[in-house]
Amino acid sequence: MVKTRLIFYYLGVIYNLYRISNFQIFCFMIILVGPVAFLEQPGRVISIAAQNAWLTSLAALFSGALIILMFSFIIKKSENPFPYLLEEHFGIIIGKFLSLIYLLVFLFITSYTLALFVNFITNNVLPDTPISILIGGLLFVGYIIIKSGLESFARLCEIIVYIGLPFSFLIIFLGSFQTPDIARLLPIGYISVKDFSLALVSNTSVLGRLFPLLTFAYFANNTAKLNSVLFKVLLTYITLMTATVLAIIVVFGANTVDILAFPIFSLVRLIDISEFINNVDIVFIGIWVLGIVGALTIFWFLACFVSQYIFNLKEFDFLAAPFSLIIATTSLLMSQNIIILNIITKHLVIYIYVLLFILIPFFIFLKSLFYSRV
Amino acid sequence: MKYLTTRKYAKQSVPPIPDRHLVTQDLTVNLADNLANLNELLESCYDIVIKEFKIATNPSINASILFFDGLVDRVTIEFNVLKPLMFGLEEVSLKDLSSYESKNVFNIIKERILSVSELETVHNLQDVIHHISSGDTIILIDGYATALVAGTRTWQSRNIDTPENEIVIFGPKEGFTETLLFNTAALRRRIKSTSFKMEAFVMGRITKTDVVLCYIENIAPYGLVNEIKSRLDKIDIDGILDTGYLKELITDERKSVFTQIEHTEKPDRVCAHLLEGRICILVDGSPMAMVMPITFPQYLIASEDYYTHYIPASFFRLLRFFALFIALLLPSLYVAVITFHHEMIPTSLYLTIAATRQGVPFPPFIEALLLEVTFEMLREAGLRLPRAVGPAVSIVGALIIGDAAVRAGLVSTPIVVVVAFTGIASFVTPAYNAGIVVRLSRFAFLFSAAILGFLGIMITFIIFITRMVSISSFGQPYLSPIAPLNLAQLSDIIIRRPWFMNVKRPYMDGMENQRRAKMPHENRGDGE
Repeated sequence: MVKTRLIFYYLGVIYNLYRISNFQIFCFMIILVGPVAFLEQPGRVISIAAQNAWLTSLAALFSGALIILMFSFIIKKSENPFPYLLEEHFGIIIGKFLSLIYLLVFLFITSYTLALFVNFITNNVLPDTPISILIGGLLFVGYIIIKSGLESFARLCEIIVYIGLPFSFLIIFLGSFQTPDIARLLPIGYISVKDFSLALVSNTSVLGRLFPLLTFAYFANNTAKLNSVLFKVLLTYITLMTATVLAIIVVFGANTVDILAFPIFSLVRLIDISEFINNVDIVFIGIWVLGIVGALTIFWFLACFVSQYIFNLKEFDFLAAPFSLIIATTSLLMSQNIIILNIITKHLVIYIYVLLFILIPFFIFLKSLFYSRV
Repeated sequence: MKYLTTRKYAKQSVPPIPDRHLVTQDLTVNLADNLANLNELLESCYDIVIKEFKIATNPSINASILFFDGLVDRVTIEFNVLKPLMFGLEEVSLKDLSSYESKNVFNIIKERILSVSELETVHNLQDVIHHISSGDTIILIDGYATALVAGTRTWQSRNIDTPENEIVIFGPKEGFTETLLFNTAALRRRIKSTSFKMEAFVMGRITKTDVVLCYIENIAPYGLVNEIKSRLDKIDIDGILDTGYLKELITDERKSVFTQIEHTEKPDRVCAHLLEGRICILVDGSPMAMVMPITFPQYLIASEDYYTHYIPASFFRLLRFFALFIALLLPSLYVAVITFHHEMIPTSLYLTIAATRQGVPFPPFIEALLLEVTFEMLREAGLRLPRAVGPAVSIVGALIIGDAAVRAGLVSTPIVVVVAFTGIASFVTPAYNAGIVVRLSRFAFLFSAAILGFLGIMITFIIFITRMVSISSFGQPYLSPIAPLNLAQLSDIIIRRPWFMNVKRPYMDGMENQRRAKMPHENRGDGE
């Protein structure tokens, strides 16, 4: 069964010319972990680990490396991409069941990402704009991207990374010069093991968003250098997060960060160059929207791809339209109440990331390690 | 009423249409039959000249020449065709002629009597018609089912001039003309290689237009050449009057506004493209050459960049990229900032702008839209009006109307500055086609800025980029080498790479011969 599908799948890959370069894989992964984490992660880890949060970001280098090695091992030991590999490792019934759960989770994450962003926009930039217009606009863009195909999406991701990544570092660089105080980092290393572990888990859980790699790796034209690409992603993420957390602590101090909804946004608002260029938050949001659209479209794309497997469909891109309705409705429901969104952000998302994007792959990893057919 | 009129005309008797199969018939040995058939085919063609005469042999042979007046060199016909046939046979002894079999008289005429450089034979009426339409002269001889074609083409044409749309300071200033042969000669003069191939096609059921496909063998990807040939072969249309006809028929994305084929009037630019493995198509009657495949970043490259030092050339290229963004986004950014995000600009600047906007009855979006539309109208008017009047209208439009609109309080001063600056920036793009895309897209950005401010601009930007990355020009991704990234090529796109580092041609799928030069140290090695 699996082999038949494999042949069908690879024929599709060959004839549709779905081949993406390693740099495009890099861009996909950066977009997955970068934009959302850039907004929500600094506040979350600083509230746990206070002035030492940047150390936990650095420490995520090791836990992140383990996650990457785990994903890489699964790719090597699996003949099929996700979600087909679920059937390969767990059998058809559990495979389909898990795929269904993943489908729902992908739709949920897309809706959540959209709701988070829209909520952020309406609270900070465009307070009078109806949420439905913003959601409609962003979903329309995502729909066009999915319909244009994976190759085009990969190229778009390149453009997003060209613009977004340098701009993010520029923001941090400029922000860190706004009334900085190095003393706010002190005392260094004064942290309980529990807080350190919690912050580390939080940082590492974000790397669970690399999970779509299990699908994209099979589209890569050079899988031999995949590990190198993934470590570059990890290094970029760690550098970005550590620099962001450091800049926020140095400028605001850990105690102030606790009362800020989005510390990075507050940092951006502080930027003032020669008393002429200031209040560049809208530029930041404009650039950031590129990343958010990319991130939500990847999960949306995966939802369509997983549906193809579950329902044995020949094509999947036509599902983008019906799924957009589900995503729009769910994100509208989430956006209506900020409390619901906060509960999801603080209590639900991290568990979803850990359970579905780290623990289940870990189980596949163990199974491949000990029960390998090779 | 119109319907009735049409009906009235429809009832009129239609003149008999020549048998369509006639044109495909072969020539016969009977001259009278051949002339009758040709007379039928060329009925109502007042410019056809058919002269019947006798070849001075013993006994004499009936013959005819046919040509279209105005397309031929009459001096050549009289001195190199008619005179030798009618009077020049003294050079060949009668004994020789009579000793030959009658079929060899034809060969003697072809090989020893006619003194024209181009001479070939045709066997059917279709070829006869094609050749006389192209300016050749047909010689029909009684007793032979074959006609001689003498190359006598000549016609009045525009002189070779500086291209009006691609002005340069450095480098060749020669441009293409409407005459295909002059254009192919301009290319051949620059590329003196047997690898430089020009394959001819005749296209258009009625117009029978000559189309030439140019490429350099071993550099242009073989698959690409074949693909373009097959696309050309599939075209079935009544007429081709310009390269623009072909462009829409052979591109990958026919519905896209993003032009995937470059048009140029400059032979040196075409040669540069040919040396990079691209393919050029020339159409008789068009002063424009089509070059393919082409990617969007290449529209920002001027041929002049390679004739000047690489440092200023790189600076101007970066300037063009900057100007592209200005031309695309400046009015929409102005509208977004003034309407939604005025906290972004310093208070003093905002107060200045607000002061100038006092009393203006329109919102910034309407102001910008009105001025943009006016600017586009002025630009179009400047192009279409006679040269003597065009610049005057543009100046009147830009200065007087703009100034009057500001004085009347209809628009504010900053928007006039913004639109004028945008207009200047849009002229920086060397390729006119790419400029059109930018001009059209600007309105989309303007609308989105008016609805959602900067967020709207970014949404439109993503759609704009998605569209660009999803199209290809003959298999080449439209945004390459930016997306997909190719660092080696990107260095000759963003800036102008120095010639001593430009050792490789831009990569194309299927290109085998990518190396274009040796590094200086490699040359020294060769010498040693």
